[in-house]
Amino acid sequence: MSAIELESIHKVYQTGRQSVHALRGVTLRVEEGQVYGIIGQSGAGKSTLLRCINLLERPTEGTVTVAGKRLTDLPARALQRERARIGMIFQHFHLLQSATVADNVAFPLRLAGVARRQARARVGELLELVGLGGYEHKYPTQLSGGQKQRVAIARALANHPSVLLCDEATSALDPNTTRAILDLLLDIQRRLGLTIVMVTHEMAVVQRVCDRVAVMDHGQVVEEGPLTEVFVSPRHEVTRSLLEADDPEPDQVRPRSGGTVARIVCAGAAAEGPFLKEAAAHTSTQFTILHGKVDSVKDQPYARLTVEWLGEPAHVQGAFQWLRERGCRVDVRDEEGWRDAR
Amino acid sequence: MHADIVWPEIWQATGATLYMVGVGTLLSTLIGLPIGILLVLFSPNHLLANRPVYQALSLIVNVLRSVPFIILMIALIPFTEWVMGTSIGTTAAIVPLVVGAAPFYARLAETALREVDPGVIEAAQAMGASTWQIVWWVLLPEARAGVLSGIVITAVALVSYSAMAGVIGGGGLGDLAVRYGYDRFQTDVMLVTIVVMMVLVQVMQGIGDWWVARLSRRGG
Repeated sequence: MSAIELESIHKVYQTGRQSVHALRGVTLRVEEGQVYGIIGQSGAGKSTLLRCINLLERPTEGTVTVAGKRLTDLPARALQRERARIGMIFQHFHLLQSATVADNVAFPLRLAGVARRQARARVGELLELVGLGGYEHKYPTQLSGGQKQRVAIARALANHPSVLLCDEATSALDPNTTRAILDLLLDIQRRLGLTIVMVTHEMAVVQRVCDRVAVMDHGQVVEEGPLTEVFVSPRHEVTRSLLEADDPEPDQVRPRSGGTVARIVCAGAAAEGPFLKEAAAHTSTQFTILHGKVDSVKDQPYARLTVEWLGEPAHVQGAFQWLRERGCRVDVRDEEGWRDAR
Repeated sequence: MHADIVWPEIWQATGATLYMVGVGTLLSTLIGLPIGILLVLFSPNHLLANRPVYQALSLIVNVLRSVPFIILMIALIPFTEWVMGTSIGTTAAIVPLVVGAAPFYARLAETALREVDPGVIEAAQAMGASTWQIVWWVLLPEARAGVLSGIVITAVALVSYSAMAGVIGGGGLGDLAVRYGYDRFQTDVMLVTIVVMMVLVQVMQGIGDWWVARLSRRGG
């Protein structure tokens, strides 16, 4: 049983005489214990889709099933009970300004009718978990953005949810805080076996924490798959443009010694070891790195390098072939841009 | 000149004004706050969004607010008689005071409640809160500073409304000022009542401001 199943979700907004088709038949499955990313440019419909999971947004068409319960069929009261088991955090935290940190975290417990003494113990536990022990009596206005998001995370976890929804949860935070919050989420996810669905427009966020990713464009999922697969061989234009955000334009990379310019992308085992050097040695060619990064996706090594390859044309092709056999994607640049030269 | 000032009558009138303002504010809040809450909930894009209900409620509030108080008081005489058994006297005057001030407070409460961040309401919904729980545990606490300062504004407005209560035998400081200052040309009595009313308003506003500031300091 999947943790979350979305079946042909459509969402149409009526504004006066105009109707906006925000979601056009999205079908998704998120398995238990997965960190699932939904990425896309703004306006792609990713937040709307996320909000359909707990029915903050009711789909015009389609069914939503979370933990085996078909939410779209439930009456209001039963839906409220199920929502209590789905945590959610937001870009702007949405804490109660008039309540202390402890009361904010206790809020869902209060809604559920948990006894005060029991709630207090749970709040202490949760604040410890998110690294805010001792902040019980502070007010949200006294906290930094990262601390506010930690409070929101503690609040979202109060009722032992099986699913956590994150709506651009790190988009209002600086890069260091973003990293700290993502690491916290990942840590909590592993410890509690949570299923996390994360909406973001930043590839770096997906890269750090997600197991699987769906790419959205114009209200549709245009690409979906395991993270390494999507990172190494993106099939859709939108995915490519998201990945290439920090790559140089083809016409900005100039070969310095008249060689062939190529982009080599690989992940996992293929990205381990001195693979460029081996490719060159096997084919008696040489290479220069023009641009690139060696990084990781989730906990797999990941390389994305723009190189200039030098040698006999046939040997250079041989080197690219060697790399492909190893599992790398190799795109060669010609006058029109990057292309898979196979 | 001092000999002419009728201190016992002044204190008695002050008592009557305080009584009308006090009970009037209490009842106006008790009636106006729920109306203000409903106005927000039924308004477009809110929790119970319902255009016809919102417009009907809004119309009633507007009609009551558009009638000048002195006319409202007279027009309500039959209603007051039906509610209180009499239309004359300080207690009877509370009926038109509340009918006039409750819609006024409803609008102030509506404005304060509308200021609550929709995101916070949404977060509560996501946690499985019912509409009633959101009103009680999100809207009212988050808007408490505005809700409270609305009560102070209503109380101050009631000081002014209650000055007209003399027309239906309600007594109070306004009535005293008219009877002595206008009917008998005793300007000094009128001046004293003006000073007493000024002190009254200052004290109410001062306490209100202090309280609102205290709530706001804690992030409300």
